[in-house]
Amino acid sequence: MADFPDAPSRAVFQSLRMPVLMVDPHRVNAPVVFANDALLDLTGYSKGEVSGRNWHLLHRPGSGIDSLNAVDVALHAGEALETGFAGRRKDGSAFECSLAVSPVHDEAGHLRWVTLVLTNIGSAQPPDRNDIETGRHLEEQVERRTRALQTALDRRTAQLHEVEHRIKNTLQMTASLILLKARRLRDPEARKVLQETAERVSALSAAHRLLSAAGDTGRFDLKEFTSELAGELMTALPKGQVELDLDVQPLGIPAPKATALALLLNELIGNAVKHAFPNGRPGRLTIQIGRTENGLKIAVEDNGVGLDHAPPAEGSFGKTLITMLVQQLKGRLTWHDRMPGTRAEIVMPVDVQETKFE
Amino acid sequence: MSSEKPLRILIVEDEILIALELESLLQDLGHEVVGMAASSEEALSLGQKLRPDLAFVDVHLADGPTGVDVARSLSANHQVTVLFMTANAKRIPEDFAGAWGVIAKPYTERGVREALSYVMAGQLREPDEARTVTFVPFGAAPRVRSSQVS
Repeated sequence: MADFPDAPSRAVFQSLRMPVLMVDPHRVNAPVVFANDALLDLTGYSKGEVSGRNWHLLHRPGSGIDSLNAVDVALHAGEALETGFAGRRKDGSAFECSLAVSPVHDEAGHLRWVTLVLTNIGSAQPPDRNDIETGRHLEEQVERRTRALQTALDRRTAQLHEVEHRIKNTLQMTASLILLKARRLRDPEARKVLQETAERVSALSAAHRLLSAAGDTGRFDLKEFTSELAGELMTALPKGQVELDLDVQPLGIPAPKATALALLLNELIGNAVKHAFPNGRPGRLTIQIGRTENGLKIAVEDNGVGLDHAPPAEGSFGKTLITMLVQQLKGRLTWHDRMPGTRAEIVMPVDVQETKFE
Repeated sequence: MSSEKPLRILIVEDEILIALELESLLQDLGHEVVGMAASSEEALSLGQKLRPDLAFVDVHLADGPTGVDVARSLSANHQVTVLFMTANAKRIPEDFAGAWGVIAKPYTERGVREALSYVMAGQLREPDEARTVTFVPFGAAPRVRSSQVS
């Protein structure tokens, strides 16, 4: 026979904001011996309606008895426990909460009563089967969507490769058209014109070849391009006659500038190769490319016969091309007379990135 | 190059302009183009009929990406030395389908010349020496050279 919780204890629990009830663990039905106002407010019962009643009246029928049983076992054994609890109010509406079982022992160690403290009172929706269904359904939808997006992405990437491939084929066709025509011309001057054009197309082709090799980076590897181009153009000269000095930083250029830069370098280097070392004159060709504060600095220098760096001579399409391309790239071009030889310097604003690849 | 015996070459390429220009280039270098095919069927038929020494094979042909099969068949069945020519080197399988190298399009004349030298030197030539901007030799497994190409 348990004593009612004494007045001081009741006062303490009464003042708590948390719903608290106390039950008598010595009786089979663990009747409620105390309930604070917060609990009465939560459940809608009056003190008289819960006093002496089995505490199970707070439990929601049909919500499963596992936690109910666990609490009963604990309270009768005088053990502490925390569990989730499915509750029901007087008006039949449902609520969820966490329930903490705290046994109270006297000084001699006898179990006197057990307090049940309710916390995390949640609004009534239990995680019923519908929610679980909905959750799974959503997950499936997300997965399906992700797969579809991946397939679409793969298809787009394949299409992109196709386009790059076609561009390169078209450039090859363009070069073929020009060279086939060149072969049929008897006039060597006319042939030369077409061959120069074919060379320019070749520079564009090389640019595209490198761009498509760059893949996702979308950056044009200026160092690799310049070495390729210089190597190619130098084959016009007998081996060993002219020394090539490449001082090029590993820099990546945004793809949109690639073709203009490619043509520009082709003109500058091609000019030096074709005109600076006539009649087997030996010498050196230096190409320097590095970054400036907000862009790029390019220098092509030879120590051969001086090139005419006066205003573009009439009919010198190469010079015109250089000027136009520098303008397109918003750069500045200066010619220096090196005596012997010529140095062409260009600075241009461009978003340069150090490339990590070698 | 004039001291070497000219090669009999088959061009397998569906873009006629590219094929014609390549033909001219090869002729300038002293070789003989014995045939041009645009599809895999034509390629295999000409390969069998003409038994060329060398074939330039594009991966994409008139009947689809069938160049790899053409390469395999020409090199296995007809002892043709095969060089791939393609803008799309990704399609070439790991075993190179029996080809000796690939020329990346758009090709350079230098790349073609180097490829020819490599082929004519057979196994005597180091792959790295032959490599140019557009020609990549498959050093791994050139077949024993047939007597045709000596």
